[in-house]
Amino acid sequence: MRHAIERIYGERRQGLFTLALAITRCPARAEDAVQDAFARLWKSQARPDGDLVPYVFAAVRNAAFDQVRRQEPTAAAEPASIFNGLVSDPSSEAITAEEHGLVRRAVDALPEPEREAVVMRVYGGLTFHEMAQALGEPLQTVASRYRRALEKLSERIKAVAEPSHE
Amino acid sequence: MNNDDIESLLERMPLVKAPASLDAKVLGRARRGRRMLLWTAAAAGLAAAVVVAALNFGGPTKLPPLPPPSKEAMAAAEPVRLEQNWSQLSYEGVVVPDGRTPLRQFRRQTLEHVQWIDASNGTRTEMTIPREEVILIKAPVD
Repeated sequence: MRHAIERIYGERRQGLFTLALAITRCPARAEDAVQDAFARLWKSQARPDGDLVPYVFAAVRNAAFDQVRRQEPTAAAEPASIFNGLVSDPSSEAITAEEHGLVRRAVDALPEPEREAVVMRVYGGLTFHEMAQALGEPLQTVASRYRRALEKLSERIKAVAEPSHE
Repeated sequence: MNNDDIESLLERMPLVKAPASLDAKVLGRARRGRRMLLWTAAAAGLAAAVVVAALNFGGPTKLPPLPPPSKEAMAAAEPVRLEQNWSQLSYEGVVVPDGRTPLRQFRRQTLEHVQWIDASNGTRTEMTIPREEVILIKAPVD
């Protein structure tokens, strides 16, 4: 199982980190969450049946929530976005500064479960079935939550990009 | 703007990159664990070899069964596998176990020695399995 988990980490490390960041809203805590999750996975004697990908995502998600619970209320800094600044990232050439700002604000404003669904699907590469397993929820619930998140993003981006001329 | 457009836009957004230090923290721990596992398996193999050697010097026959290596140890040691087998057959005379049928009794003793060598970190894991079987062949009656 170790080899399989190592392979999942290798293939999905960015998605796992982004999920942890979407929950903790702090890069250092996100890093700690991923590290804690894998430390638990290495120690665990559990042998889950079937696909390990949702199992690993669930472990990182749980560790991220543990980080949030441990967070001291006084240490609340401005929540970090999952998105990088536009200038420092060469891969961002395909997106305009305006789009970047719009999407970033719209995603950051999503309720946490919807942001989580977007991250799992788009950046984690999970299927709805895998998301349902990782979240322990029915497939239909997870799929509708994701679609609702996309609709909200679409509405918010449209509202800013095409303001009413009345 | 439909859902596909939004997904496409999201895919093009630059993410905060997972720090490079994360790999060392996550995989370093796994590899330390695996090294420990290999050393444990190697130590078990060495202990088994010592037991077999002691038994071979002490007396020719009964060899105790060895505990098999764990599945984790077997899975972790996948790199290069070298296998060597030793076998000897000895004739122990005629026996009559049921008091009526004479049988020739042979005893075959084998040692199976397997090594897994991980060239990436120079780790060597060894396992020795002793086996013994008694073969009875019906003896011709003159």
